[in-house]
Amino acid sequence: MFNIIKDKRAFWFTLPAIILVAGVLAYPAIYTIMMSTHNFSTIQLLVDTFTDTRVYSSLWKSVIFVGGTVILHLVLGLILALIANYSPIAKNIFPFIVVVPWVLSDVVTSIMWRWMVNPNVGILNIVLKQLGMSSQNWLSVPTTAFVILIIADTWKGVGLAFLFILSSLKKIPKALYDSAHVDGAGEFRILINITLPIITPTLLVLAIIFTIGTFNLINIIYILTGGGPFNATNVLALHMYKTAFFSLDFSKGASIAVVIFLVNIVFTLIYFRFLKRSQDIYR
Amino acid sequence: MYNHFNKKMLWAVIVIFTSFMILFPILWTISTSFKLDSETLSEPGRLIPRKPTLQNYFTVWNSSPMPIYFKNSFIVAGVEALLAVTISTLAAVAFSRFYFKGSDILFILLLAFSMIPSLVYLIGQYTALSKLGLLNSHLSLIVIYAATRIPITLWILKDSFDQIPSELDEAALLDGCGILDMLIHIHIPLARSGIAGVFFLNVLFCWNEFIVALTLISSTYKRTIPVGINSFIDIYGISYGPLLAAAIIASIPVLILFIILGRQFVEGLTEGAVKG
Repeated sequence: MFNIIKDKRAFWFTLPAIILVAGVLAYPAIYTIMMSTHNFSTIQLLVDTFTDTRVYSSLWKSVIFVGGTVILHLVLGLILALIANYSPIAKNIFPFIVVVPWVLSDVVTSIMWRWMVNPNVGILNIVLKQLGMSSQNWLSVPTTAFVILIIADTWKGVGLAFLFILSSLKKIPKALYDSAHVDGAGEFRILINITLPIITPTLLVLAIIFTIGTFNLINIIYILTGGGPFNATNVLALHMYKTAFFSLDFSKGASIAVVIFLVNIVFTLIYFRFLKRSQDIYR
Repeated sequence: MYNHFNKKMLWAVIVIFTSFMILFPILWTISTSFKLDSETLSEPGRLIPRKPTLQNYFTVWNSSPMPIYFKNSFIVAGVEALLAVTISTLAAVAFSRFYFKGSDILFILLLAFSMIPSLVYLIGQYTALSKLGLLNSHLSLIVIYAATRIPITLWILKDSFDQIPSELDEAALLDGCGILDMLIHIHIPLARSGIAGVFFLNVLFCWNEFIVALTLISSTYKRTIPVGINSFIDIYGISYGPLLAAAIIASIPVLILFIILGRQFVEGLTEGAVKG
């Protein structure tokens, strides 16, 4: 560390940041908790929220969405990273290509995908018709709506997964591969017995990062399905938003926010546990 | 020799094909934005338009509030980035080079707030702003964005400053430099790529942010681009040409920046992404 100067005046440098964060983040956070408990007088609303079936059904939808997205992120990111690790051409080109979707806004992404799955002239249905299959209205069937959501979100985020995994693949010492080759191991063997075990801690850390991000996601779902055909894709984050700003029930919304907050705390604790494990491996 | 050449070709094909598949939605959107609705409906399967036209773009720019949305996004993103980067730079320098009582805890506390999703704060922020009568104001939006981004910006900047060797500080002190002088003449110039990086990330965030802007801004003429385009979805209904043109227009500034900063951005993203 470079803390060579012990100087109280440095505190003033940090003051603007403290004021902003305290006023804009800390204060509303406390306010939210107060709203859900009616000024610290009763936690009845919170208890009700924990036993609300609609909350649980939204939570379940969040679980499905997060599960599907995280798995797809990791699988596709891994495949792309492996390709890039193996081929110099890919290593130079991929990083720029896969990051482009990430740079676009959620609104633009959602509009693009809504367009692509348009029942009449969307490219997806056009292609299906060519292949002889029937076209459908993807967004008005719960299962397929979910699938489209997962694909759209993955399309946007796979770039991050790719960059993370690639950087950890690069850290694997070449000597390991060379000695495996000398021992006569085939490529597939190497992949399963050497590469995967080594990057597993990184994959776990990534999984939790994406879990946190996707669990709190609202933009893409709001614009693409608006909660899905009859609340089919009404994940918890969206349910909270709708409760507060559509139904104008701010107290209820605040209590759902508290639930989301608690879930995030759990995720964050798991994140630190995984992070520690992934760093221990380089001892 | 022959085998090696074949293998390289194979990989090249795979890479080109994969890249095309990833970029396809964007290409398809651009393609449709250059088509008139008559062509979109009659020949939906063409990637390259038979009669490319800029009509959709003119429609969006001249007959919709898009220019106003552009101005709004520009202001919000620009001011927020300046504000957030300035405040974060001051704090980052302090955390990086100085030591004062509780600086460790303070740093961790600031970071902790960034780990909580901004959505959780939204209800409290909305209610508080409503009571203060500060809803529907660009300033409120800028301040909220800044507070949301400061922890991460701070973290990345602190890391940039940590890279500057402390010997430089010592030498400067010996020469009689004050803290502010060091900041202006040594720290900032040496960390300028990090500062440029976080400036870009902040602009990107504000330019693309949707839900907070949707919630806090109610006037049509104060909307930022994401909220604006979202309102187009109902207006343009079946007519996808103008809607997609709007989407492309919204993305152009960011894409241009991306092409210019390209490599720097990807590398910075790997570093920054690991942290945040």
